Amino acid sequence: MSPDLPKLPSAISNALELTLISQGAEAQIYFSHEHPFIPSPLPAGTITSTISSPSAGYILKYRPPKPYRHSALDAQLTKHRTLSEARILYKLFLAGIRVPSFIAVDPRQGLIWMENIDGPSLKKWIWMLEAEIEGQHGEGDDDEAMTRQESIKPLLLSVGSEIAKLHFLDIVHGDLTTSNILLRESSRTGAESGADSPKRIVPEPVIIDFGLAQQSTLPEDKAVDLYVLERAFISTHPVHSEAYVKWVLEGYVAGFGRGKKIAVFKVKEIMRKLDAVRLRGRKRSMVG
Amino acid sequence: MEPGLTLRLPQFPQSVVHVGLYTSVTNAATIRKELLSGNTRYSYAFVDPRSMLSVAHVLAAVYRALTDMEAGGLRTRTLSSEVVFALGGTMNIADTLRRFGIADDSDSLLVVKVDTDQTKRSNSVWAELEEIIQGTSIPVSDENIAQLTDIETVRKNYKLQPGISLVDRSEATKVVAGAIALRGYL
Amino acid sequence: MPSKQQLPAIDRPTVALGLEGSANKLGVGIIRHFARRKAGPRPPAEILANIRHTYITPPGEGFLPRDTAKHHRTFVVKLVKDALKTSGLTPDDIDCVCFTQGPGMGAPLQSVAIAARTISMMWDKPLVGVNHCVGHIEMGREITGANNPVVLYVSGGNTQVIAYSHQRYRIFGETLDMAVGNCLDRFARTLQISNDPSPGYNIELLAKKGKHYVELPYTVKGMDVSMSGILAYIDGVANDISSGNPRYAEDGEIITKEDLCFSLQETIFAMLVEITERAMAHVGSQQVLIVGGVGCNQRLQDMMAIMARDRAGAVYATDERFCIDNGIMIAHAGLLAYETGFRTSLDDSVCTQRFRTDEVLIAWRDD
Repeated sequence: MSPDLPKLPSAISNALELTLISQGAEAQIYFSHEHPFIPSPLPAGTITSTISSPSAGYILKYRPPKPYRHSALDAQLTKHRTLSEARILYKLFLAGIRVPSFIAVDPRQGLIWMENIDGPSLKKWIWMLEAEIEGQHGEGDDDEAMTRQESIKPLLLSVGSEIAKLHFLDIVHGDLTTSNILLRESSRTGAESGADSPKRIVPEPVIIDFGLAQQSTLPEDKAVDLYVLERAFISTHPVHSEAYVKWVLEGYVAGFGRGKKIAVFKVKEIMRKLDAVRLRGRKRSMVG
Repeated sequence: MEPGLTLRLPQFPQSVVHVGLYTSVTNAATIRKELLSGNTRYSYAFVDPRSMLSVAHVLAAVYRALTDMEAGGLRTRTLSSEVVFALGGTMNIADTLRRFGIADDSDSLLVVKVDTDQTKRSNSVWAELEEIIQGTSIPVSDENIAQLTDIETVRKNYKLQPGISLVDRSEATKVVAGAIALRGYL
Repeated sequence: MPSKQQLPAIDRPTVALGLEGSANKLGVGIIRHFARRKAGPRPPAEILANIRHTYITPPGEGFLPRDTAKHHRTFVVKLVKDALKTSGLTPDDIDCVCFTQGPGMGAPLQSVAIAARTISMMWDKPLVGVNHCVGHIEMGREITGANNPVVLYVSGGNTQVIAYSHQRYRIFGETLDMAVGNCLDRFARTLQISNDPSPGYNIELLAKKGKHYVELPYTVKGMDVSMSGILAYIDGVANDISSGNPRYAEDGEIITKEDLCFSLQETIFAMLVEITERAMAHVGSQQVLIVGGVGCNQRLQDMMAIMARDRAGAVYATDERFCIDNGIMIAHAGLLAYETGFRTSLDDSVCTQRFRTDEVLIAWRDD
């Protein structure tokens, strides 16, 4: 017996070819080759500086109605959450943080369009690297393995610094895991590293899924964000998690509000809170 | 060959969108007067191209207007005026029409027409526009729009921080398209 | 329906007496687990007695720890005697004396623990301290046959979403402030409605007559929920109404207290179903078990069933004999631990108001 998946509004599913790529508790994620409002191909010669990127495609995030809840409450929640996520995506895009670019929103129907990020998740990437390094171990030629392993560090440093940028803007993600960080080919390193050493290219991390994200100035909330990621590393990548977390936090501290005096104070406070959160766990103790 | 661009937005395949671009316009004041008097023949979105960055920028506004229309949420009287209203980053209709729409002294115009029901159309959009506008039709392309853009006007109209760069047209278009999508929601 | 879990072999039947008194219900139960020669599926337990006495306060009043403890002290001997009589057993037939060690209110917990220690010494039977939440979960599994569900535990003192992993019941989400039952009870006090048989039940009855949905704060944070803001808000509306400042619905009708009960249930139950669904998606489970006093609520069960249906899953719930605090669940969970060799020494039998569900090693499960 398979669940009766909630369906997209028919006007959209009739117009576009959409592929369901993930189904979460709250939302469905669809992939589309087509941009919602830029036709492809365009009449010859009309557009050169297009904002569409048909190679990577686009993502439609859909929050279907939840029939278990009162329709007025459902409509209000769908609208509120869809808008909140869209606003955060746009704010982060404006700030130059690597997130999927926001394209459009339909709050009444619970729809958000954004760019697709074409690349593996950090989770898959680490698993792949670890497997490769393990596979090559003992075969004598460790050069490539070493190169590979080293490339984890700069990547995790930049993961940390990307999260720091997010937090510096007082946005907390709410569900940081290694699955919610995607890697795409760096737009910058391509030229620097040259075509002869593709293995040295460090991919750039892109943070996705801001469904649980919110605005917060509290160091506590940022510490919990980091703690959740730390737990994800420990449960998903147990063997080297200690080193991985260390590199992420190193990148975080260095990247937090780069060069701004107030940032040093703030990041110290967050690290102190992180220690406290680690000690007590995420949850408070409750009277029964 | 048609003087302008005719296309359909992927998400709204039933609607046909016409975009025309005109320079050396001499009768803007007349057009504006007819528009204000409610002459249905002038039911086009007449946009000042100084505020426009690219074709995609125009399409973002058309998309927003169509989305709102589908939800029964048009704020202005016609889909054409809604397209101009959708271009603005604010909910102030009069202010948006003044900033983005045709002025008495406009000497270039970007014109948009959205046909949601093609069966009602008997005559060609382009023929009608040729009668309405005294000016020169030029191909609708990002290059031609770029020739007419005034970046400072764009920055002012969308209240963009100095930190946000508009040098890269593609990135700049994403910035304004986002503002259009979130207008009234930010 | 026999549960699928594997248990160690036991060469003779075992019988436990269970005492529960962590809140305003005093419960005494006697349960029997049957012998099984080989490790394997277990025949269903036999409930020999399940007796409860509830301390009910007048409308507008909650139960205070001291008075509740007094109630428990007054009735515990009578209830144990009644339970023995109902079961037809003598103290000799009992293998162990199980009692709620926490979490709960201090004074009532202690009064029942003293009774348990006394019985244990009098009858010379070992003591088994039981976590109240684990009692609810194990009883729910036993009665419904749900083998590995995500558990929503909702009562006057607790609100938790729990899933089993590696011999622990792990808490995925919970309330950040007040328990859902407490929130309902306190709103019942604001409305001055009867606490008999329980404030939550009377809210449920009123809610059935409500028609207008009043928008309330909705506070889900990830997998956690928060209740205090909602209660403060709806208390404010209720006080406005009772002091002669009516509120109106969109259709122009006056908002009634029935509408408020309806809106409160709709809002907080939606929050609970939402975090339960999130936990189910997270662990990949299609079963959901609702336990605890609030779990009797028909609307909560219905909402959960709709959510489960959309995930091609099923909801499991028990009736008021088992979802409301009772002695039998303490006897059952205690006996499961007893069979793995677990005992609570007199020195370790002190009660604790704070006793987290995930502190207990679930030695009787190995899945």
